[in-house]
Amino acid sequence: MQHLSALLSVAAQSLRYRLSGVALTVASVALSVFVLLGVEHVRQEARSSFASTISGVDLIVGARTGEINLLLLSVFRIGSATANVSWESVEEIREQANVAWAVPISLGDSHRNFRVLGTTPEFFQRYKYGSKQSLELSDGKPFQALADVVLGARVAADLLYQVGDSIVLSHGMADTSFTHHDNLPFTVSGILTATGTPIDNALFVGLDSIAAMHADESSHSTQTQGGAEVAPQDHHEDEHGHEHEHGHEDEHAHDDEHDHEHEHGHADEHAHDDEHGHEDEHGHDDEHGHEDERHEHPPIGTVTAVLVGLNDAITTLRVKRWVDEYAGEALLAILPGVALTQLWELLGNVEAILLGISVLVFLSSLLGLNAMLLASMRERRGEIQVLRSIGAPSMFVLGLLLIESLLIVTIGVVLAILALLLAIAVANGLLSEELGLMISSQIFNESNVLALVLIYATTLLVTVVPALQAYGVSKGVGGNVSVGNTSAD
Amino acid sequence: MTQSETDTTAIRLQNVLYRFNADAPVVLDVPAWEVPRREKIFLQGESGSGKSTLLALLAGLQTPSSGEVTILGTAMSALSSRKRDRFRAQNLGVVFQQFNLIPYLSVLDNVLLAAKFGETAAAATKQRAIELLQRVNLPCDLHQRKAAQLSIGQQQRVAIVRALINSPSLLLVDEPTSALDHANRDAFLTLLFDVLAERDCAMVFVSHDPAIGQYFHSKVRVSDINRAETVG
Repeated sequence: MQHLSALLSVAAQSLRYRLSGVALTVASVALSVFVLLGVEHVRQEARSSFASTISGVDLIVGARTGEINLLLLSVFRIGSATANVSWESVEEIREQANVAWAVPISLGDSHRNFRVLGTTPEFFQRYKYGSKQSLELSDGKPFQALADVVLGARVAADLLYQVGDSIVLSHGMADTSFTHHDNLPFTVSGILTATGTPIDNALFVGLDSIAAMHADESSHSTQTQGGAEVAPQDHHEDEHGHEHEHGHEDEHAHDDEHDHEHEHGHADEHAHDDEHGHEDEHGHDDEHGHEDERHEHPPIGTVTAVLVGLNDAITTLRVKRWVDEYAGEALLAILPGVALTQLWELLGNVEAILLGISVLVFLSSLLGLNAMLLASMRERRGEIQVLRSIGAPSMFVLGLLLIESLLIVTIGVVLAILALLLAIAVANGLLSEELGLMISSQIFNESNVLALVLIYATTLLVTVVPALQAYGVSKGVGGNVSVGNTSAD
Repeated sequence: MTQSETDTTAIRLQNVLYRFNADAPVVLDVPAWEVPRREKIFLQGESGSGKSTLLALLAGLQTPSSGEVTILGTAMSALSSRKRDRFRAQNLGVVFQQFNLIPYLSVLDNVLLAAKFGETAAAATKQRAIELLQRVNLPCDLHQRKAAQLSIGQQQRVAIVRALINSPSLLLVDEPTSALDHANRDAFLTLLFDVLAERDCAMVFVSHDPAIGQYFHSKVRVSDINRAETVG
């Protein structure tokens, strides 16, 4: 356009003249775009962070129950198991041709309201979250000895534990549980880095430790709630089954810390635990190398669930069917991804509410923007008339109004995006320390871009239509018989 | 410009009909009307007599429903809207009742913007604008003020300068004094005639106020040239 420099100069002076109004409009556009993009982003992030709670696991096998129940129990550690998976079944699953690995997990104990997960050290290599990210230790090392415990990031942060601290686990979930396993105090051997998943809220010990803790109860054949039941005749630990008795043999009064254990009355099992913890364990560890003790000497009688990885994802459904039809006991295999999606749909209200909020914010920001632009258009009819009377081409008038509207919207949008990125950075700084949650900075998804396009489209509409109307009006006293050709060329 | 230079009429209307749309009543019906070059004419009409529409047609801001409007020898309806804009910028000066200036531009920039559209912009234009502003008693310290900061009387004087900066051959003026008191009105008119006396410029001055007619030799009532029954 031949008058471009004049156009820009006039637009700049016009904006400066109406600076306070323009600043308010920009602020309001920025605020509503910020809320719009922010809510939409949170909605997408909530969904994807939910879906990335667990990855790298092809199947989760548990006693037959609802799919979502099994997911809640095994991944989120919510609820309690109605039945368990016997160690024989774990072995059978492992031996399946397509199964690459199977990691058993056992639930049922807690520490200060955080749940304890008994598993094998392999868990730390196999369990993945997000986009196949592995668990990492921020401090210490995985559990090795019987009395080692690894803490999730949140557990360590909330309870201010460090590597080397000694803690006592409790049976069941309630903090007030009367059954504290003070027969076996644990030492913190490692602390995991934050993941933003339920992993952060758990404590991890070896399956054999779970068995050892419960040895006493089982000997009294007290009921065990939750997952980790120890078979009455548990041959855990005792490397080669020579020592079944020790579970029941008592009174050795192994001086160490037996003083604490009040509940059980008979200051007994500790003998066994200690022996077994300190001697047998090591023995067993040694043998580990030469002997494939896995098959012969189950560390525990039953487990709550088994995480299964396959050689080839194509065989997932075949293995699932095999598990579902397993004759030995009633088992259920779930695909974590599918079950997570089902659970998310169950929680769909949350998403629907966020979506509703996004839509409302979008509409209100659109209406607000349009109202402001329309008001300023009305104000400027006289100005358009003046420009027309001094021979300003129609493109100049239109260009002036468009430049101003688009500049206001663009500055608002840019401010909103910068503010959102800043907010995400700040939130990530806080969240990753506290929760290990990382919000992605990828704020441009399909629906956000669509929203921005709609904002621009309506801005154009709201600017051009009144501009053309004002154009028509300026030609005479409200009449526009022959306006047809006014804007045509 | 060849035709317009040789033509001896500033304005020629032939069989001009105007209505807002096809179903609306005719607002303006002028079978024939001519204004010679350099003629200064007082067009008196009450509001609703169609005088504003007439002025919009003369300025090329509006085109007639039928008939021919010829300004300075150029048929307005033959021009594209863009060419009409340029023709207006180069050959016509327009002064309205009020609100003649862009409020956020300085006095000088208001004048220079008009010069830009008239494509007379040159190094000398700014000097000429300053001289003209001083000619209508607007001292230099006012030139950089925003137009909105001036009194209405001052604004109307800026409007005259703005209308004359491209040395138009026809000045169209619509009730420029209606917002002024008597003293200011008389001062404004005297100044207008003084400035016009120095140039070859025809003028159509529209007002409802017969008192202003005393400044003019030729006076016309809108009702004399417009046959349409207009609604008051």
